[in-house]
Amino acid sequence: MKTFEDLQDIWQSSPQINAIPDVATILEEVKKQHRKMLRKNIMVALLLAATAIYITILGFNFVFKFPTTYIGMAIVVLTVISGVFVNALLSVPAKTNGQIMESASSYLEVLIKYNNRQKRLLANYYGIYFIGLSIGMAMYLYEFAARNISFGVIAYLGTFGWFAFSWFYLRKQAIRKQQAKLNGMIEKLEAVKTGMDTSN
Amino acid sequence: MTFEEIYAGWSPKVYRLCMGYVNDHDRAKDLVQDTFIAIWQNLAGFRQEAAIGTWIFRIATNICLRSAEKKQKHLSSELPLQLAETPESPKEEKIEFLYKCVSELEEAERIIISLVLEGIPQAEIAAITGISEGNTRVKIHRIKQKLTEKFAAYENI
Repeated sequence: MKTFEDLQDIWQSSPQINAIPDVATILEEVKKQHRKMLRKNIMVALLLAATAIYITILGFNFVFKFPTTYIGMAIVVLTVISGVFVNALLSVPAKTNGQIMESASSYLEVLIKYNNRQKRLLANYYGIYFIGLSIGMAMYLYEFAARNISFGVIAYLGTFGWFAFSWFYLRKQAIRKQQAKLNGMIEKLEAVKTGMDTSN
Repeated sequence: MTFEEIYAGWSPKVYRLCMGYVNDHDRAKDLVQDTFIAIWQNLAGFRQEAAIGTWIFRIATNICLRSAEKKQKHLSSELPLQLAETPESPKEEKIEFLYKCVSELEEAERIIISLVLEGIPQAEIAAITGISEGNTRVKIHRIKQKLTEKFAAYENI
């Protein structure tokens, strides 16, 4: 029968040196992450610049009579850009590096709060996204519809038919899938937190 | 203290904590890497009033707890890796079994017992986990018993 001290000896005799990455690998990884972050920031800046150029070109090359056309176009583009950002926010694991030095118990609270915030963001954002796209498209199509009634009817029906399908089917499915993932995470973190707080 | 010195002194201890948590060499290496990247990034913010060991183990513990978010990525490769590992000597076999026993405990228990096995004083364990000292003492007593029994059962096979 081993005593706990024997187990401690076994524990402290591990690991073999080659089991741990060397310090150069760690520092290389740090540099790699910095480069990745920089690349990501550059990509976001390029995306915004490209969008601005695209809108400017459209604005100069096609002269629309109604201001609603331009406003609609801007709303659609802004909604799509915000969608890209929110999607990125929802897909990354908790960015809670600032609190990494807190005790495990408070860090778990931070992680639980973070996942709950993601859940709220998810629930609110999809609604705003579809409303933004619908209003933008409705305003954009108004000028064309006013010029040609039959084109307008077809364009409005097609566009809003697609939005209705996305709203009632795709949106619900996407929310359900992501909510399930977040709920699983929150449940797991709460179980660990309970394990830490209870005295039995 | 330079980063290289910290790494040389603390990486084996952090590795053991991570191995006790995940019982998977590759995932433990990833967790060690993530821990020391966080240490490197926060070294300037480290205030001398806390012991450096407490500070490092807090970061390592939190990285382990956070790993649940990334776990999905590794699941597919977990099984072949486990099968490929065969301990070479009776001593290594014991070490591997000890990791296995620790990793079968609940998450909070794994962290606490790994710190005890490392020889960290109770007050410091309380500071790392955020659990009160009284509660830490009760938990340590219970987990020690649980682990010793698990290990004894293995030896009797």
